[in-house]
Amino acid sequence: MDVLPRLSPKQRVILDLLIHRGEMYGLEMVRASHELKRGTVYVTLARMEDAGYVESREVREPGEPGLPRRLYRATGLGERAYQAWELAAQVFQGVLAL
Amino acid sequence: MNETLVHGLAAVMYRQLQRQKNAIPPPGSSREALVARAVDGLRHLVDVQEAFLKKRPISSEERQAAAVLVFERLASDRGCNPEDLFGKELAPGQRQTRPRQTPVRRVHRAPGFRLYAAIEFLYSKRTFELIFQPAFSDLWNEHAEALECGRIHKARWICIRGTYSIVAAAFAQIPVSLLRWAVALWTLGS
Repeated sequence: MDVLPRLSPKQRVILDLLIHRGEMYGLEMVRASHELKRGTVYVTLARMEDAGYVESREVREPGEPGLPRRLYRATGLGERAYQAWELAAQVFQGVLAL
Repeated sequence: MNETLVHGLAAVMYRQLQRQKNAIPPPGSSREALVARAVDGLRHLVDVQEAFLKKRPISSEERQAAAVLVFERLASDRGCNPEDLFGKELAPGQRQTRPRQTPVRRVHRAPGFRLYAAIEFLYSKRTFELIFQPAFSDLWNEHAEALECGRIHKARWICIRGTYSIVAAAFAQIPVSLLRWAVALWTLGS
């Protein structure tokens, strides 16, 4: 029996953003959502990357000095986990409505 | 007056002036006073030159001419006329004013550079690349954008907020890093 993957509220918000808006920087996610904080967004993203829900790549813009920025996008596993959570939430709401 | 001797003397005096901190004449000094000062200040050097040459004593006219050459060269180094270099004699009781300097652009260190070095030392390379490097990148990009717009207070606020968020991330990561260390040690021990 498959177990429903566990997603924290922040992880769900991140997956929601990445699935609906495509590739994003960490700071873009913080700006787009009120639930994510600058201090913890990269910790959450690193844990999600360890779990295989997101993947990232470094982007170094030509002619721009400084550290490279990191772009994140949802993986197939991340999308399926998010859809499973959405479905479970709908079913749960339906059960509550009965 | 021997021209070659005057030029040689001027070269020696110029070198000596370059070594001295008070080589730059104060504004408001007269040309004659500066020449006299240079001649008096460098008399010992000239004496050394005379003792070295042992040909003939250098006349006061030659010293004066050499001093004038030195100050002309100083003026040309600064790209101004010797008269501009010497300035005008101040009236008694007149306060000496310094020309206002244009603001100089300084090179500043990036905000949180000490924190960057400390975290790079404390955490593993992977943790640093995944968690802290993007946070520092965001901080520096935002800070640079605010400075480009001339919003200095905003830049300071970004610096404080960014540093706080990175410290918060560092604290949030401590249990995970400790757990990884413990697992690694346990694996090595078993």
